[in-house]
Amino acid sequence: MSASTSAETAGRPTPSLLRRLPTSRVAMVGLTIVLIWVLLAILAPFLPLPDPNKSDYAAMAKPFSSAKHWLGVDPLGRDLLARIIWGGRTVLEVAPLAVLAAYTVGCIMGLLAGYYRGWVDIALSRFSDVILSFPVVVLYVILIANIGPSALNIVVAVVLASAPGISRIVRGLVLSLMHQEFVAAAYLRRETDIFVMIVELLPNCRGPLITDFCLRLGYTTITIGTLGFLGLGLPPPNPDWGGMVKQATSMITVFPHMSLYPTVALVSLILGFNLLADGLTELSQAD
Amino acid sequence: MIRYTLRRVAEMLITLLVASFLVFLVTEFSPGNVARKTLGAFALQEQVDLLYEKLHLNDPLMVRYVRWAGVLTGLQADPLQDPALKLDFKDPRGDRYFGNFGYSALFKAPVNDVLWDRLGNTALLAGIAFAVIVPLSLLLGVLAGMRVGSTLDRVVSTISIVMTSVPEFALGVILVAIFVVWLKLLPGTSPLKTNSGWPIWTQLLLPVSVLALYDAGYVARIVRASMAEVMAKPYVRTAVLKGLPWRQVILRHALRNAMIAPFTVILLQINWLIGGVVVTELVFAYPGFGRMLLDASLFGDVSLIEAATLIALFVATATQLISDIGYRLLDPQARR
Repeated sequence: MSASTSAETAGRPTPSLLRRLPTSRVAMVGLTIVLIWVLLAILAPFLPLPDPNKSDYAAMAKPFSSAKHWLGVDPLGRDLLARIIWGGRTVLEVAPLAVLAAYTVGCIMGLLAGYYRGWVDIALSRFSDVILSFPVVVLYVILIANIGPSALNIVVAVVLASAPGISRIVRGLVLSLMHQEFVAAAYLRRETDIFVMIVELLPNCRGPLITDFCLRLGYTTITIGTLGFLGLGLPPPNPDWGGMVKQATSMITVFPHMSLYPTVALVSLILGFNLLADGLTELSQAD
Repeated sequence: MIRYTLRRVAEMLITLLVASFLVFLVTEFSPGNVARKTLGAFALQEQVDLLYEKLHLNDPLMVRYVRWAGVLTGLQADPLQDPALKLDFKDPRGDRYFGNFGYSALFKAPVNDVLWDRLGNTALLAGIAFAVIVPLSLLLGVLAGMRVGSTLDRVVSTISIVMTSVPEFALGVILVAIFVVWLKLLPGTSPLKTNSGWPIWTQLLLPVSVLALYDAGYVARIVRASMAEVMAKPYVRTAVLKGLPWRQVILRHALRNAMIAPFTVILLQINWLIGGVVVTELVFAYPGFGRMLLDASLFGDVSLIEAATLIALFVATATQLISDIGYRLLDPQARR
């Protein structure tokens, strides 16, 4: 449905989605939250923070917030604020990387399926159907448990789990674009298949894809957090929000702040991505 | 319609077949691992080697997959139960029957002894959650989509976007912090045992809330969007203009058409619910299917992982089938 509308508007010189971003208040709130985390992540090495992996044994007796540890310390006496900021750095490195990788694979799959149709399409679509029939968390659990938890393997798992969904969107968009005049014109100029796919088709898919990209950033942040909580996240001692919550939940009755602060951090970042995606959706529907 | 149904059932079976092969590929790709994991970390290397040989783990993956499928369908005897192996794996059902998932290394019992109790507990949890999600999200979504831009619409939309931004485990932690730590109203774990001092229904309250709040936000957004679309249709405007009472416009004209898209979404939500169940059961130490799958994965219990994943896949694909067929029955346009 959205595919056909975007195809119709593709020819019209409307200002691009990203340029109209400031007109959506929802999107701007989301963008602000995300940017704050990005800024903190970039500045983490320069901020006057304690070492996130160093235990302060003196603080363990009274792990609550103090002048030395603003948010208190975790069950091993490590500074919570430092771990949250450094943990944000990890999430903001892994999540965009994973989504970008998934997009590369998904776009290639979708372009091939939509462009060549026939058996290529059938093979790729059937494969996507099989992957998409797995409950997502189950897929992540059996994959990561077997290939081992690491940043790279999380990226691999996200690619496998999300590329089919992206491929479906791209395929639909390509199918609707194939009847457009600019594709016919490219054929008349005797452009190669790869040129048509990458230069003519792909850029015209960007509208719906930008929104989906933000949504997937949110999902992937949820995934990374959830995997960490399930004990399948980044290997310790690296700070990882989900893992921090997991480590502290057994003490939640005594020291609730240890699990609550990383939770709030995670939720705020996801909310930022989701608000941004929501604002973008509204903008694209206003066309 | 019958032909369509038959075709979809055939497709579902093929999907299940391919997916089961993928699961087998992921869990049993390295054959040395299978023998080691079956015997446990403390087995001697000679024992592992012996089992490796007896189970023919050297064979190509495809051959091993066919053999595994043979055991599952009861065409072949389970090699692990062979008394010559001296593993003492005994299944009261015998070594050859349909649905033989093999032997769980983690629980030291046949998978079928472990699986079904856990599945029952999860069905209870997911069933109650589903019974809460559907009416709640329909009500909120319809009320919000009925008058787009109204205060109620904004409130519902805001709450649902916030709820979909909170992962299940985070929601669990927040709810535990409020209702267990701060208000001391509810138990923090749900072992489903009466001797813990809390009645069973109080133990179910928090896990159900986590599942329901997370999913209801998403479904409510879909219902709202669908309702808003229908409300803008000419036949609804006609109904309003010809002076029908608002109630009738909504109940007779709008609702019926607005429910088609959410019907599919609600059924597909079961796929998400399975994932949510894994996380929620871990948060509340609930003795269910999801936590069993997680434990099995972390332990490396090959047979149990395969069994649990297959059942999750079966539930997911079956609901997809039902939703596709139901969609056709509901929407005359889809029938062509």
